[in-house]
Amino acid sequence: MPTDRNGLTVLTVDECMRLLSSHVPRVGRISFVSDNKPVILPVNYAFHEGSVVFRTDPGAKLSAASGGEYVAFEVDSIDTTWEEGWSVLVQGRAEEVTDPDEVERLENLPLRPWGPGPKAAYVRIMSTDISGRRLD
Amino acid sequence: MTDAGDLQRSIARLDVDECLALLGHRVVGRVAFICGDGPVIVPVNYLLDEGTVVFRTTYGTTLDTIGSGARVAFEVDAIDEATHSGWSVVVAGKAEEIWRPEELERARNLPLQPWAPGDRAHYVRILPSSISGRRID
Repeated sequence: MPTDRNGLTVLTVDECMRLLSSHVPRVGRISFVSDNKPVILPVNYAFHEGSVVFRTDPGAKLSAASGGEYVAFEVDSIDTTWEEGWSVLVQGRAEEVTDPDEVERLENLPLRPWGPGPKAAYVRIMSTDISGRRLD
Repeated sequence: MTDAGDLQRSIARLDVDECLALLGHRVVGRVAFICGDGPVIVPVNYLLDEGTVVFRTTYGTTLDTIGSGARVAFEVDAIDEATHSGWSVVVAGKAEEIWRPEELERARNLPLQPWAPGDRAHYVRILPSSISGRRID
C-alpha cells in the first residue's frame, strides 16, 4: 500500500467513504475561512448519498459556510496507546441544500445542530478531494 | 416535521482556565490552516507548553508550511459516542517554527511523542490570540 512522507498508509477514496459512513460518533470538524483566518468547529454530520451533510443555524458562525465557500471536513479515530488510527479529510465547497425533496430525505437522518436557534439549514459539502491516512 | 427528541442542544461557554485544563489532558488535536484556496485540517499529537500548543512536523509536508507565522486554528474535543455530548476547545493564533537553539533544545526534551511515524524534526508552536471552548449537552 502506498505510504506518505510520514510513513502513514494512504487510503483509497473508497476506504475513506466507507470510514465516513461507518464511523461513530458521527462527529467531525469543519473548517472554513472567515476574515482571512481559518475557523474550526466540531459538527454532527451524516454521510448521505455520498456527501458529508451537516446542519447550521442561521446567524451562527457555521452558517457562513454554506454559500459555496471552500471548506475542509475532518474525521478521525486515533488511539495513542496502541499507536494506531486513521484520519479522513474532505475538501470542497459548502452548499445549502434547497431541493425540498432532498430536504425531506435529510429530515429522516439523526442530524441535529448544536446550539439553540430556529430550524436550521442543511449544508452539503460538494467535495473536490477526499483523502485519508491510516496507521496500523 | 419534528421528532419527539428534537431538542436543541445546549451549549455552555468555557472560560480560559477550563479550556487550558482540558487541553492539558488530551494528546491529539487538529490543526486548521489555509493552503491554496481553502482550509486544510490535519490531526497532530500535541503538548500544552506554558499556555502554547506545540507539535512536530516533517519537512516537505503541507503541515510543515505553516511555521512562518501562518494563522491557524487548533481544535481538541471529546464527544461521547452515545449521547453526543462533550466539549470542544479551540485555540486561534499564529504558528511559528521553534528555531532558537535554547528553545529548540527545550522543545526536544518535552514528552512529545507523535502517534504516527515520520521524521517530524520540526517543532511548531501556536501562539494563541484567543482560546475558547464550549460544553455540549
